[in-house]
Amino acid sequence: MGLCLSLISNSTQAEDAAQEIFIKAYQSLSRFRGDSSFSTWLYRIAANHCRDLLRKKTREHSESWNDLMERYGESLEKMLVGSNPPFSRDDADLAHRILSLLSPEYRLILSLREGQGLSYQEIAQTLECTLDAVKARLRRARCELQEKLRHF
Amino acid sequence: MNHEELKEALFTFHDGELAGKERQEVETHLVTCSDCRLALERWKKISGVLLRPAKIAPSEEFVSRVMRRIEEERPAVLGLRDALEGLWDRVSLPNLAWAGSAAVLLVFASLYFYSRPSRFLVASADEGLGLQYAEVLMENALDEKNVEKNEIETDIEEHFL
Repeated sequence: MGLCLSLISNSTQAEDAAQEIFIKAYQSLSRFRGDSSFSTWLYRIAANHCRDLLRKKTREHSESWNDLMERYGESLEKMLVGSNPPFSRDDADLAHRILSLLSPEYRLILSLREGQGLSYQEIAQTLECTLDAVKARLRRARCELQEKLRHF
Repeated sequence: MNHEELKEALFTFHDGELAGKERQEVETHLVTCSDCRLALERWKKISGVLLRPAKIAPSEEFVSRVMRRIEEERPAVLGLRDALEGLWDRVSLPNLAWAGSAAVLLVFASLYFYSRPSRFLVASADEGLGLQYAEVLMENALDEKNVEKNEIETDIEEHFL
């Protein structure tokens, strides 16, 4: 549920996604062989489902960085410069808008690491890739996000 | 590690994935290098603002909605599993007729499944699961009750054949 919400801003849609993930997990239960922990297996189903949703959303609507900065630049500055300000609903919405400028793959790996606190090994098992690929993708995702925010 | 390598290792350090000598090297470097210290602080800030974990509890109806969907999705053959579980709960030593009935049902069900697998098992996620599970249930129940198979067979013969 946390992963869904960190990737899908709308809480109703996030809950619907979480529901679909549980149903998929139930339907695939017989294919769980214990090669990884159950939570990693569940994360894998969730990651695949959320990746598909993000790709669909990206195709349907994408805001440009310039438009975003024109409308919310000041708010973003306050968020990044202020010292641990309380996080309002508007702040959370803005955070989602900024992250939506990243590719679904980058958003996913950042959420798994920073939001969900998965280890590199767990991320590798979730995304079915190597440890080196996890490190490289995380680095690229972070660098891209930092680059976008370089003026703040 | 030189400065560039140490800078590259900052994210791994931040993620707690550096150990031993490398970790110590980064920690020592951070004491003296303000650039790297600022870079690390910068990322912590961005992460804390944009990537903080979402804290929300699912709605009260979430669990019931999921369970309702699971019941709807449940393959027909798995319904047999519950029926069998309930049936075996009622089997007791003084009433071997129950065990006999269940055994006969299982035999007939097994024959039917074997002869016409596609009709019943098509909805199952794992073909043959219902039958295998039924067999396991029967074996477990027999073990638990310490009932010899031949006693059941005799009982079946007496009551049903």
